[in-house]
Amino acid sequence: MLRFVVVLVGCLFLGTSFAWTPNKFEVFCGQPYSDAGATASAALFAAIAVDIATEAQSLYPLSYEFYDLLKGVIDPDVEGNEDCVSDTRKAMIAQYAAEILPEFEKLGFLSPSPKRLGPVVENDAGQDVVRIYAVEDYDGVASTRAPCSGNAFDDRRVSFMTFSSKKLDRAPTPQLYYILAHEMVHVIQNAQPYIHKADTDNCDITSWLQDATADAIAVYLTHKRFPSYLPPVTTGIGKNIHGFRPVNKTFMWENDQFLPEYRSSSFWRYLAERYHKGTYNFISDYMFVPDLTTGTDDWLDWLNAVLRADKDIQSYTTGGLYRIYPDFLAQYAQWGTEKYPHVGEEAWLKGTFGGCETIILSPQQSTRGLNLSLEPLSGACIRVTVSGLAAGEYGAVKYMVYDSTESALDNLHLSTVYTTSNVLVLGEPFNCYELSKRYDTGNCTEKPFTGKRAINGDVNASGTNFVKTWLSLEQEGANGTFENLMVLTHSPRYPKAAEHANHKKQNVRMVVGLEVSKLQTSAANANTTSAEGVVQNLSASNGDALGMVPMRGGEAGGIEAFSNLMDPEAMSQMMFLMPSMPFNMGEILAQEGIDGLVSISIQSTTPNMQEGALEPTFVFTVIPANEDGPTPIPYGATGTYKGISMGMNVPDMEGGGAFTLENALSGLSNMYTPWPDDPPDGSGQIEVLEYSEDLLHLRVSGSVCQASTLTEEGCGNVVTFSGEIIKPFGWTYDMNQTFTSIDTPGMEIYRQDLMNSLSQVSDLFQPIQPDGNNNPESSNNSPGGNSSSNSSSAVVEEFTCECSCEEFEKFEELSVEMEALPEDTPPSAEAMQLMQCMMPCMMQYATCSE
Amino acid sequence: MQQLRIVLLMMILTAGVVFAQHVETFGLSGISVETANKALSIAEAQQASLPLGRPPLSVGTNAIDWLEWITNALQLNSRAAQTQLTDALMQAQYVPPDEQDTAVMQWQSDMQQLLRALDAAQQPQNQEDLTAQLENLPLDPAEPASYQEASRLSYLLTLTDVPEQTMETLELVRPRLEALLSSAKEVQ
Repeated sequence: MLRFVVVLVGCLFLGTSFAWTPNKFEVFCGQPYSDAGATASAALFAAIAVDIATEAQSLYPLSYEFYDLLKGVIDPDVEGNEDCVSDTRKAMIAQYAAEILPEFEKLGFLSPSPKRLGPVVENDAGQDVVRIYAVEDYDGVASTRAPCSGNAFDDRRVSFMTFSSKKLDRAPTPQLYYILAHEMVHVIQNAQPYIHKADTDNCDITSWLQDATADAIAVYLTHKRFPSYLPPVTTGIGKNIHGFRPVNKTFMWENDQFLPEYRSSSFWRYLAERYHKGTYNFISDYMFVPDLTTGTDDWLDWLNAVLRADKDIQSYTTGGLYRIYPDFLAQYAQWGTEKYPHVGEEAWLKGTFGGCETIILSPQQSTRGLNLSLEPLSGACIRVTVSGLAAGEYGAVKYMVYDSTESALDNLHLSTVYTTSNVLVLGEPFNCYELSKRYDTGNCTEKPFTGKRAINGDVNASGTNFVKTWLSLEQEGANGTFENLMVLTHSPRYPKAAEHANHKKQNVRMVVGLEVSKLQTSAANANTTSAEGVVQNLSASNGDALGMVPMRGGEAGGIEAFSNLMDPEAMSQMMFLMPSMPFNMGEILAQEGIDGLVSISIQSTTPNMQEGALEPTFVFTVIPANEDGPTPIPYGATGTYKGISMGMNVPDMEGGGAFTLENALSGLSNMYTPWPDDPPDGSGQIEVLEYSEDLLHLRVSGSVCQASTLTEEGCGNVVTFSGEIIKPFGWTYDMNQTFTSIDTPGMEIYRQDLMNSLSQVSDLFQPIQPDGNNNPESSNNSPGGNSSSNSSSAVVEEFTCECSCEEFEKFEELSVEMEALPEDTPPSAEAMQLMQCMMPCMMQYATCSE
Repeated sequence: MQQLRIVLLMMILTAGVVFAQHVETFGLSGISVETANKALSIAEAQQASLPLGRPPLSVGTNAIDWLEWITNALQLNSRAAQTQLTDALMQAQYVPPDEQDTAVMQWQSDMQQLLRALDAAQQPQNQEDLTAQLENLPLDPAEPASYQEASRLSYLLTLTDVPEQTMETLELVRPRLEALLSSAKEVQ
């Protein structure tokens, strides 16, 4: 709106000055007057009327007025060899330039006319034309003068485009078109508000912004005109056309030899294709936004602000560059196969990520450490190959990074580029590039969990280390092996060139682990193709069953969130397992002397594609114990532990539905009791192969008796079982070191994005309004100067609990309706509101009559 | 007086003014003989150090394909191999000490220029014909071969614009470069 008003007012006052005229061009073999020597100048002015010569000499030779005064009087420029470019080429270039100019108007840029479109002269036919200079022995390919005097914007300066005459004369025409378009974008850039607004202190704007946007538009226009122009990425021009650059170096890398700043055009192409339906008008919108603060230009800060303010991006993320750059790198990693199949994955990844780190995992070698160094706004490619799985067996690859500060971990994002095997929740392999096309608001970055690692149970102990892990879903080892291509990105929460353009690398220690379990049993009808081990850390929720690791807090600690269901902040925190549990079960048990693994289960599972989960069928549990009672397995232990076995057949237990005697008996008959039931021999055994920092590796075995076959004479059906449980990050199962999920500035962005995407799916969820002023280092980082800050509660409709029996009756009615709701149908908003009253009104409700 | 003020003003404005420029290079100035010889020495040493049994460079391929071949053969996607090559380049003083990070890229870029010049010398192209072919080639996302062909034609087009200096340099090092490629094609 602001822009509309400004443009309208400008048009009213300036009238035709906004017209894109003149719209004709000519190629001139020679140099601008300002480059002429004193002799040429004297000769020029001696040839014209004294009054005009005097006035001309009083004008600034780089100005629009200088050329306007002399137009039709004399040509002030210094002519070189007029054949420096062939006539055919001159005509072609003029035609191309005339074709390209209206494209900028279509892209929404403000007109550079009359001052900055270029020096306007009169041609032989008496027409006004914009002059393009062709210079012999030119050092380079082309240049466009920025309208700067020193650092300051100079309103009088016209834009001069100068080219190597050889390049103009000989370049293949698609390349010629591209070079011309690139320089013409610079001319257009010189006329956009972001350069000449007062807050821009240095009008020679950083190349990673100027040349990347110029190249993005130039390549876009070149491909409109020459769609098939795709020089190989082994050539310089091919790198430019494909936006092919090392992304294992910072986005802000500038280098005269390798031109990474030009080739960052790929980022702008990504923005166009991912968020703007393939159009590039958003660039002109961005360039309408002035620099943020007077006194210093920080174009990375500016870029982050315009990305955050872009309405087309906000439905994906409100996190700006922080969330966008990791998704870009995940998509970009696939361009070599999906977008440019002639390049191929290997060549693409070599040239962009410097190749991939390769991790090979198997049940025999289930964890690997990796040391990486990442510059700000760069990425590392990690190829994880998993082998040794049986067909139909499921496993999950998990990742964890360690650092001494939470802000260092906030910088890190993990994205999946693709998986070669089915991901359980998807029912198909994950393919970032393809899925992003199918699901508009999707993101290829994994859901993160940042945590503190307790020391001796104290999460606030000094020297506490910080850790970060990501949601990791089960994958099918279809033919015994699969491969995941991942990208770890360094994208800082508050990106600023002043802080992050220094190539300073962050050293990252990452551990990658395979989680897999195997089960053999003599139980009839037990399908053991797929198995899952369950090892509880009693001071944590069972996060590893959900695809994470055990974490303190979470669903079990969600009472606070439950009573604030309409509070999106609280809900989102619950989704990242942040709320504290109401009590610390680990601490309570430790006081009782129970400090270690108390129960190990292994279960055969059936994949449920609809639920995206492995559902247990036969469950066998061994409790480490001896004749004196439970013998919890402490962290760091190895060796063999005797235990008591038990089991059940879960589907049969659940099979009845309603609670009837028959069903109860049927369920009991599928219970499996310890056998032999006579300690100290024990009915089960746990062999601890490793319970260490990186790995928990157990073998469990035992025998149980089907309860329905148990008579005084003995057991009619003894079932034996044995299995292996492999879980990475052994420390997370130790009650004294439990992973505690914490909120951080980075996690806040992920929470906001999750709630915002959920709110687009269901009215039940309220979006979290991004705080327009949540950068502690920036007083105003919103392009529109929007410094208003809405607290999340401000958008939530208040609901006051009456704690009356009428309210309770209503709640009971709604509860019955909720039970009848089809699966996947959420409860009504009214029900959700009343659910908030359950905790605070519990005592009053209890007094209501039946 | 007025004119003097204007002149002074112009002097102030002009003196010390940095004309910000945006320049693309694309290796326009060409590669020198000295650089070419250094690049070739590194290439020869690297190729000689390769283990036996590597797949040969296909007969009949463009010279530029050698670059991908040697990149694969040296396993330059691995950090260890990149470090090894960087060490060799630094030892040969291929780039100044402060450009260690980009030494491999520099060598690849220089070799690319030489190889493209060799292709240009061996396969003179007609720019107009190629442009016409390219303009008449439809790209079909469902047909990767159309992208291959577009890339091939686009490459041939680049051969029409190799800098003169690079062509002159090539003539001086051509026997070494051809021997290098010939050796790569003979490997079993």
